[in-house]
Amino acid sequence: MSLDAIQSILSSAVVLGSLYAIMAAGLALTWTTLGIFNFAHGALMMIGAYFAWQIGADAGFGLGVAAGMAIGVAALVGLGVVFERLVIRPFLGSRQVVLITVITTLAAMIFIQNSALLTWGPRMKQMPPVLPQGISVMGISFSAAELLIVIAAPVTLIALWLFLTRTRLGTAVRAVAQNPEAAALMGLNVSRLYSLAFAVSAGLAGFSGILLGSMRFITPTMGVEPLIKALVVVIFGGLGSLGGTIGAAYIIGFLEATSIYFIGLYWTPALLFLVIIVVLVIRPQGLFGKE
Amino acid sequence: MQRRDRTFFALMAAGAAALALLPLIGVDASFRHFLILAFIYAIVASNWDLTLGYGGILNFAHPAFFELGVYGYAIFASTLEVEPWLALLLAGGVAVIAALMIVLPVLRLRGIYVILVTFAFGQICLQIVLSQSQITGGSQGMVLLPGLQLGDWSFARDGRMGYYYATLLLLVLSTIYLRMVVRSSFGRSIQALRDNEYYAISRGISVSRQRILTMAASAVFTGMAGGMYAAYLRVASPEVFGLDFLIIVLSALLLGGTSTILGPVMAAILLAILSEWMMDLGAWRFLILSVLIVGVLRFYPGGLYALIEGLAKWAISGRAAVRRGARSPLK
Amino acid sequence: MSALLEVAGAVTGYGRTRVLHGLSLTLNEGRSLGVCGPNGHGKTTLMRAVSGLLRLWEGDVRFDGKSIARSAPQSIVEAGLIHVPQGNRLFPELSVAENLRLGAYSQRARPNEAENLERVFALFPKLKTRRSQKCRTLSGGERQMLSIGVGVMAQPRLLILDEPNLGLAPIVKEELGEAIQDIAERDITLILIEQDIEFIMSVTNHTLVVEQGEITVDTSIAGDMTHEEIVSRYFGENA
Repeated sequence: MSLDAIQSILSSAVVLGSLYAIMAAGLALTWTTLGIFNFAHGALMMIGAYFAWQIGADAGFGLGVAAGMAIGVAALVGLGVVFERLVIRPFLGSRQVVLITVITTLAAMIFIQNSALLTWGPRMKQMPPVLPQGISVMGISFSAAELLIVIAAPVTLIALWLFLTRTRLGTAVRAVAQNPEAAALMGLNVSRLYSLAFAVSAGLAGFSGILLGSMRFITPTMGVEPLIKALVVVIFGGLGSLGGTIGAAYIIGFLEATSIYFIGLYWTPALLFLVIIVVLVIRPQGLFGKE
Repeated sequence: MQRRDRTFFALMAAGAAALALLPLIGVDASFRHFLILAFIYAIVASNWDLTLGYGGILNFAHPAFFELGVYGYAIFASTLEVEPWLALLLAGGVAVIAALMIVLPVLRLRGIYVILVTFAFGQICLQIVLSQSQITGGSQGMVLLPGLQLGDWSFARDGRMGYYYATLLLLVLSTIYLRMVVRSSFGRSIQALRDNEYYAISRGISVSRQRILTMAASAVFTGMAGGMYAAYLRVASPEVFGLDFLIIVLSALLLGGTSTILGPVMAAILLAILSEWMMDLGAWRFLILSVLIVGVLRFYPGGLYALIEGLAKWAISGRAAVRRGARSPLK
Repeated sequence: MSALLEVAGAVTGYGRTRVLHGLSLTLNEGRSLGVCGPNGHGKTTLMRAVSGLLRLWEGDVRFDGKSIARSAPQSIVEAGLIHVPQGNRLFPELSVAENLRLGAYSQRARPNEAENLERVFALFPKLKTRRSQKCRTLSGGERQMLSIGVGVMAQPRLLILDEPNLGLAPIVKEELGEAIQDIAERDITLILIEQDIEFIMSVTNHTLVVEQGEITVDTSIAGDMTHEEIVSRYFGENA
């Protein structure tokens, strides 16, 4: 195996892993706090990319990429709050909350996708480049968008980790996930913390969508494939812990990059799913999951 | 026959008779087309009720059983040139084999993991269909599949009249089959498992065995419905794997009311008609449908069946039953 | 002395089952109250209603003169009414220190967080040595100490302890008992739900017996039974 091959695999592994890590961290956050799996996560990514395009691109408001990203993420944070209130909260008390929210988040996905289609039309959009040209790190060349992802992912995830472990509010979010009744008795505003978890999760979705959109094209259905990948990541890592999810994201990114290189694009998804099924048969809670 | 059975079969027979007479009073061909699709959706949704409703198995591979039925029919009838009627039965067999394959890794899983893995199964199937283009036609799909005929009479003639009655018959058979499964001792044991797993196990019911059988039982008519779909439209394309199909069928199941069989059947027919009726609205159609789904789950979680039951009781004994339907949680 | 907590004609329950049938009680600031009675007769239900986890069907709860019957648990905590529930699991994946920190989550408790933390560690020196351990690795007794500690962190005006000794070994009970006594002797008004009548007597000023969702004995009312009579009536001569 040539050095070139290794470099190429590693660079795409790092890019994919970083992207999956931000996506899956958002999914895992809502799962651990509210116990619901958000099938609209991919759609939230997509709408984040469109917001950023609308604000940043010359064909939109033309305020520049940085403004697009900042406002895009902020808009998604707000959208996350609304989303939780309409699609999740009414069903939280129900005995079948897991199943019902699968349906309602799928319905929300359809709603968001078609809203995007009505607003921006079916034609692909392209985000203006962040930096004029690519950069080479240790002989591996990255495009500007890829570089942004590789740097932004660890920064975002460390920030998220610091928030969850080092701040009072973040600790409260984790506490609510573990024991909502005890949380209420300690004066924590449970429903506001749920909103917060969803807002952060949607913000992460929007951010990863913007990153993805700056790497590929923006279409109303661009969120479907990443959602499936994020699904693979969370099954693989188990939904229990954020650390496990992030580790799994990079492992899946590496597996995918290796597999694409050796056996091609078509069989790679099937191979990934096969790995997942084997993992689950051996460890039903996922690789890093707890009972 | 017990009273509940009588009500069920009376309702079913009345519905089937009304639908059978409908073409005779002159319904145009395009409306008949919607109804044929609606019957197929109804079969898929009501059979899904067996796992999701009665069995309490959060199985999201069900649409894949249908899709494999579509491709099973296509490959048998077109590539292997098997007699179409036999291919229709074999499509059911393909779906059963798929159900047996997916149930094995799922046996030890719980809750959300069952949803994720079964959901992923549908995606594997899609990927395999796309990648094996020499067999499946890849993203182009397979076209000009043989249709059904009796002797020389093609089912597509006389404004698709043959398909109308064939799918209606399949729906009726499927409904009777489901009712019999649910009322059998096997059907009672899977409901016992759903309601109180530990108690059921302590009474000697095997979780794994019943889960395997439930999945297989739910796949039989679903696969045949896929075969019928392929025979009717004469194409097998990867589009059937889309999330749109999953959502329409799933909404039919939930809006109709789980663990009722007839609920999903009625809701599927209503939804298919509604969805086709709104065809001209384009993307707005999906906006309306998605709001409708969330709204019904929010404000009338008992579903259509509970509403009809409630209305029937209301006609007899006042309004309390209707209100109870609005409150009753999904089973 | 003014009444800190007044419950007037409380009626509530679960689903359609009535558990409390018009129960009333008054507790003055600085006093401590013991509540005993058979299991399943409404002691815990009463406390859940007081702390806002359960809505009252009829009646009212006033804390420091203001009605809290319609308030959310969060604003009840903010007013200084702290309920440490029975068999509290707390937050198993958080450390002891994090659990205590969340105890001081309310605005009213935050200014005194450091001071209260010292007080908790003085009450339960064990918690100090275990401060970075995850809560789920604690023993039953340690977890109960932490629960009470979390209650103290909230800067309570009224602290409700629901069967803190449940299922603990005698030696641990003794340690907890001393701590609870210490809390009761300070400025904190205390409600202690307990099966061990002798323990209640040693800690509290007066005792209520709750049976069938009603108060059947109140030792603060002249002419009603005394502690000793309760002991002999409900718990046998030798208790």
